[in-house]
Amino acid sequence: MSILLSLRGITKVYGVGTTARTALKGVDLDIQKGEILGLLGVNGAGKTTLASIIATLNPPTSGTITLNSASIYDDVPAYRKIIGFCPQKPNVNPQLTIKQNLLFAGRFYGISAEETESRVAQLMKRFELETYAENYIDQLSGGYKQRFLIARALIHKPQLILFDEPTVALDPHVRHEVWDLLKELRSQGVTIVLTTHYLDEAEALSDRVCILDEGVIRLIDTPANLKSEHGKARLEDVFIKLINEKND
Amino acid sequence: MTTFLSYLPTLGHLLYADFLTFKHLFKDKIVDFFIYASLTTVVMSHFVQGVGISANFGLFTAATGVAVSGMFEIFPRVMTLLSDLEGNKVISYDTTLPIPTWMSLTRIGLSDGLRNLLVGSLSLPFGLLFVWNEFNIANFNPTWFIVLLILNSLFFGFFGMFLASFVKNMSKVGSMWMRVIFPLWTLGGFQFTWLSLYLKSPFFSYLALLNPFLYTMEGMRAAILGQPGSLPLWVCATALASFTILCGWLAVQNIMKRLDCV
Repeated sequence: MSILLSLRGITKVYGVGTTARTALKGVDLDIQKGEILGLLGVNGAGKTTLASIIATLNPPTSGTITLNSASIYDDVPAYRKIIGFCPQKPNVNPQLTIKQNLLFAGRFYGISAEETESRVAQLMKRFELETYAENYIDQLSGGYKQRFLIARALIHKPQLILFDEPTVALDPHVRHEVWDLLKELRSQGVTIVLTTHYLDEAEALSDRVCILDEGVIRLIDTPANLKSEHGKARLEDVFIKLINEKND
Repeated sequence: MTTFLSYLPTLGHLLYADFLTFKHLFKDKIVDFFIYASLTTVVMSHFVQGVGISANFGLFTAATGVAVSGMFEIFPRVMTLLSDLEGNKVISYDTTLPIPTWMSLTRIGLSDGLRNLLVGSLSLPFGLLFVWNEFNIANFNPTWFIVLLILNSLFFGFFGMFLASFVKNMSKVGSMWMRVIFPLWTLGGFQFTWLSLYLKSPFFSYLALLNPFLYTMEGMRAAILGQPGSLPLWVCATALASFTILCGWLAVQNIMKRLDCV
């Protein structure tokens, strides 16, 4: 696999002076083309911060991110065209219908009206949103909100998609539907960064997992390697072992 | 490298999406403004003469009302923007779109300005409805009226965004009207001209030149009622354009800082 995105020395400090809090402490990470990279960690470990930085929502305090050897900050709009971001909270215009939101999403990315129409039709069919086309986001259940967010993130066929806790508060069957979708995207060659609390999810989906702790990468490897290296049957046990080691 | 022109279609679609959102509210805004314009004009032109105020004051008030039509949108827009900044952060989606972040944020003020323009374009007939007999069309300058209407609308759009960027949280919004907007409105010549203030107190009249609301009202009155007695139109237009750019720039900087944007 070749490297799509390279992060070097990513540091993020929130606040100043006595209130300053370092969320990331010199993170080095290569994201490989076509992989699902699971970002794991307890609350406050830095995974959402890292995903937000990769999505260009927030800048790092220091460090570089390169795409094809060029800094993404040299041309942020061009970089944003190749990424999709599926946030935890539905940041959707509540006064436009589901279909209108999707149509605008396509147009925001410079896709022609005809292509957007056909893409929206495909995505609405794929995510079973057709029935809710004229509904507003507040009228959808949690599962359908998530489907909508995923559809919107895919509208411009991004090369890299960041999913921030995509299955939080979803019913088990909807969770599994989201899993199937992520696998389908991977099979199409899309690179995925997945932040999650659920270790079973990370184990089932990720080609590699990256365990963050207090802003530092503790481990990064395939789930199989991590399990064999630590002599555990499940990724969850590896994670618990790490936490216990830290507490000791 | 992506060029500036290539961002314009995205900006245009963002503005169009805002327009569709506003379409639902348009009727209500028109009714609201009609109530304001008609009541103030009727009271100022017909009811207050008994306490010694000239009947011409109705026309004066109508012209002033046209000037500040966008002002009444500041409060709801600040509430909307602030509740978003504190809530679901729909704004954060805009900041991941393939245009520079400053541009997607600038469009908030621009969009609010265009909303003000839509409502404001109906403000003249509403305002003059009850004082039509006193209106002298020979004094009316349509070109300057359009220029001032656009500048006033944009100014109030960006001023609202500027205030929203400074207000810390929803609990502080209540004070904003009384502490910021009301003083600027009252001291900006809602019921007097700059010249009348100058004749009374040159010091306070020079101080009033720092108030951007002064130029919205002086300029619009000059365009509707005629130049004599008002600040020169070009001064009002220049000052308004400058205040708009300043408010827009500060608002974008503040929101970028607040959201910690790239």
